[in-house]
Amino acid sequence: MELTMAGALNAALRDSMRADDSVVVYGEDVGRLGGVFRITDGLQAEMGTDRCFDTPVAEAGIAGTAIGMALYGLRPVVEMQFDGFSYPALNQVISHVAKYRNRTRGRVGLPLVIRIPYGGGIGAVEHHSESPEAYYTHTAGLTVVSPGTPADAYALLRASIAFDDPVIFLEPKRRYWLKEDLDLPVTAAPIGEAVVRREGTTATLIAYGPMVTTALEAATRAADEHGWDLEVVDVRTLSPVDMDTLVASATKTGRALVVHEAARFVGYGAEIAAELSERAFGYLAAPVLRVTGFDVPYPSAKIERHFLPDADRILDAVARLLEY
Amino acid sequence: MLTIRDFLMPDLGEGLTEGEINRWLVAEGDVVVVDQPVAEITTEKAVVEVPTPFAGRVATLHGAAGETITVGRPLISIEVAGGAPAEGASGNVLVGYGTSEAAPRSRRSAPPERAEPTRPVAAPPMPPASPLVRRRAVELGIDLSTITGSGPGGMVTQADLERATPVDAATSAGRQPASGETVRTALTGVDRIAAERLTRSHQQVPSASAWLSADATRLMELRAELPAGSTDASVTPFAIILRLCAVALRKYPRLNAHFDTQTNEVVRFRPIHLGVAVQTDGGLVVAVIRDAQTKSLRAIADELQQLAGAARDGSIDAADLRGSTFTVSNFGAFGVDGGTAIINPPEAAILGVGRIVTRPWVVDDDVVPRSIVELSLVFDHRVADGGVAGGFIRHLADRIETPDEAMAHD
Amino acid sequence: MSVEVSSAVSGPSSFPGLSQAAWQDVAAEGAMGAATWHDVALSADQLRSLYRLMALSRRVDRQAINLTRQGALGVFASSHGQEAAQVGSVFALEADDWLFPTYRETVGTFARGVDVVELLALFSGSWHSGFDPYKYRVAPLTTPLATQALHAVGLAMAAKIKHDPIVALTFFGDGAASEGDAHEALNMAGVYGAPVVFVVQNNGYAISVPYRLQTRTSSIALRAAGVGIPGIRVDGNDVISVYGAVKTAVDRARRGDGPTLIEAVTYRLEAHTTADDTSRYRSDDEATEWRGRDPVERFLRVLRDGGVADDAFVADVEAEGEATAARMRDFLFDAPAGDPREMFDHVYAARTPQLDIERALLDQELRAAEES
Repeated sequence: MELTMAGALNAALRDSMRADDSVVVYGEDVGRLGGVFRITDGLQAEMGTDRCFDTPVAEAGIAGTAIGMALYGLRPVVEMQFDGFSYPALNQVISHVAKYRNRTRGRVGLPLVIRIPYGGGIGAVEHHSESPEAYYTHTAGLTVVSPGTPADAYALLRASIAFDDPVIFLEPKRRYWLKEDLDLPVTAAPIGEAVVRREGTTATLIAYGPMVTTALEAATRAADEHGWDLEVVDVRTLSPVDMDTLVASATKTGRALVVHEAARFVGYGAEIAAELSERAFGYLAAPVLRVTGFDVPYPSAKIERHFLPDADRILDAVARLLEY
Repeated sequence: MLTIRDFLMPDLGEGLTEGEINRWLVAEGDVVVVDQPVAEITTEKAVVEVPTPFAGRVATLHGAAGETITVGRPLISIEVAGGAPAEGASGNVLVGYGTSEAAPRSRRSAPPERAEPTRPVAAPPMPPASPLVRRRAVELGIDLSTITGSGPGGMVTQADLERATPVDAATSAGRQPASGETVRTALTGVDRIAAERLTRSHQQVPSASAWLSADATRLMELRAELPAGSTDASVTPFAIILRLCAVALRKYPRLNAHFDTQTNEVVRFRPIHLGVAVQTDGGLVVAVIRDAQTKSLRAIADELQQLAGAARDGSIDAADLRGSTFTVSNFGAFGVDGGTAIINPPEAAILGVGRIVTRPWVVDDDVVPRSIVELSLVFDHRVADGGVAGGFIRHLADRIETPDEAMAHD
Repeated sequence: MSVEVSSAVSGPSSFPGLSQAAWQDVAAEGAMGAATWHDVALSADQLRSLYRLMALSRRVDRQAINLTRQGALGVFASSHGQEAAQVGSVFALEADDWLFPTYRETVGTFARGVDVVELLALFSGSWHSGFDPYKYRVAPLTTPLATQALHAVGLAMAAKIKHDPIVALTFFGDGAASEGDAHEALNMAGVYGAPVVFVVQNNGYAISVPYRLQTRTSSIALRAAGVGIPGIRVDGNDVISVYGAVKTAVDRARRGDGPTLIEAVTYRLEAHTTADDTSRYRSDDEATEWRGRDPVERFLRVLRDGGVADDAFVADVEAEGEATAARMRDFLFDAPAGDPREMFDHVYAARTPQLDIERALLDQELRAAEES
């Protein structure tokens, strides 16, 4: 059955709610409307307003009440309507969601999921194209997951809901309409594991979320246009990250780059590059490069394509890797 | 350093504004410890013992028994050693203890020993090169300072290395052959991988060897008497020796092992996966007979024939080329008696089996012709010593010379 | 939606030494109507129990201040003078109800039953929270202002979804009431009819900032009207009034009639924390005046007058207080720091490879330090 990523997420929510009575879904416009991207379509009708409901416009409230719910034994799956509007909830997330288990010495775990559509490329107005993953991955205690394919969207969301620690689930909104042939329920590698999407020998492309598609596109063009055999690794769980898989790939090819939409300075790629250079030092033929957005606030719709990494920029970077 | 700390008359409860000193429990000059009761104060309802929060010597009692002290005024002053926050420390802050006074002792007792540099610092500066290129230069024996790098910023690239000539016998002869006088053949595929592994093994493993000759006459006799098997594969003498090797390794398991340089451990493999070197058109490959310790002679012979055939016609499974724990090389196939083979990494030993040839041999004081086979063992000296190596090869020779029992089980 | 903002005080309390007119100043500001709350029904045993909790928690508070002066605690936020507001509130809760306190509610949390040594872990620096929330149904003492109000609302929402007849009670202060989370909590509680009771202790100060600079509204209870839930303002130093108001609110919530906001007017007799200097922002006279309305003393007078408490009882309570204080001193003075390696154990349900590496690094440092 062909499913879009949005459809896969919707199915994951529905299947999780059917499988476990303690799963509740809420946020702004997720109930009656079914979500501004229809990710929660049909859930309220099927499950009732006790299981899927709308909230006032109160992001801190959404996150804060999710903490109370999880404390009581429910598994709340809440939505921040857009990346740029997740910021009011940052205090609850950083001060409490991330710290509750540690603060209570392990007695209280919060099995909640905060879903956040993120990333650009949808021609949107300001505040709707942010890539805030660095804030979340830098916060100890959070598990940050970002699927790059519809299959992973289903499998990782189900896994995140069943997870005993809080998960920040970053959905690449520009890929909501990506289609894949899926036989549900599809399973995939668990949270915490990266996956090699395309094996290769020339160089390694490390990507997650919306850039997985872009990296694969670059690899196809690389083979056709240059005879380069690129390996593409999908990080999937940004934190805690499966460093072993990334190191193995960089060691194998000797050349690696990280690609993400988020700005370059102190971005997620910087951590991966530092860690790879430390662990694969003796096997690197070239420095680890980063292909990223620029260090500017996300630009307006008409010029965003110049900001976003694309296959061309990735291939330029591969060419630089091969100069060494 | 001594400081005077004032302990102010506390509000002992219920909105007290003053208290009467019923009696002192200490005198000026007394040494007190923390929480030691120092005074009895009468409040509206009761006589309360008040403990001092400071330890030290009582400096001043601010009143006599019967006198009243207002809450918040000094009740007793204590001479405290060390005193209040030292200079530079903050003392308590709004939200906690504040900065502390004493600097913690460093846990680093002595500066770490600097390792002796393995290469003297070069007088001419080294050109920039990636870690990978540096390592390969070392492996290939190339002096990086003699190379002009063609990479970004003058970096030496892998391509630069490939073009460079290694510093060895070729140049020490005084003159490199001109390019027209040489023929280059690139190592690819299996050969390239093999070359890398052999180099690594040769460089990293401190090997030693032990060899002896064994009388295989009886073995050859018994072989002729073997009943026909279910397949038409014949049981070669080499196959028999493989089987006996597995038997011998059960008795000398230290040779079925690997030396872990990271942890300085001898890692013994439980199963015996015998690697058998097979010569193919594509080069030398090592086919693996897994769990040889469980297999009968007939099974080993069959598998050997099948693997060798598959290796030669290129149809061998990749899985059958991996995972050997001990390798046996059939020198006899080349018409050779013995030699010092190179250990197949990550194993600890390799056995060479020479041709079986008729030689004069002494049996009961007579010189008679016997079928003799030479066994050459090369082993990782970190894993086994002469006693173990010699013991193994002697035991194997014994089994070859009197194979009746070993072969009877098959 | 009817809005009740009541300034009534009920029950057998009186205010010796404080004229009714003076009290009306506090109580009548901003009153939009009066409603009578039912008379509080408490047995003699319960009244004594109430006093005992107030007196014991006061002794605990005092000992904690001493321990801070002695360096056994890093800091302490005293709730001296707020015993009625806190103890009166938690006394109205049933066994299965939940409490969401802040760092200001040592008194209330102790009165709710949390072991005093476990309770003080936050202030001693041994761990950020020292007790098991599930054992006591008390959330960790929360520091970021008003954030726990949302947790209380969430838990109440969950209980409602599961049809469990329990109530969540949370405290926050006049300062915290200015935070966005406070508004979101009140509003969401109203939207969902969550079984939660908000007790705002208006103790006059947010560190040094007095109430008049915190907000223009004459009464925080009026905010309830803004979000469509009932609000009531009571004398926070009259434990019976507090108890009565909270009990009514708790019963309402348990019945399914939704949340209530209760503003308990009281006074923070001590400084914000032990390291704060009140002389920089308020006069001693003000504190002295409020000491005249001491909640524990007042209540005891009422109980004595009513023949419910005698000298023997008071002495018993005092003795119990001293025993508790001694226990605090025993455990907290010179308490060891604990194993720093534990910081890696509770970040996630299971330690990650990276955390194992970091833990090994610290382990190495600790061993090197031991050997040197």
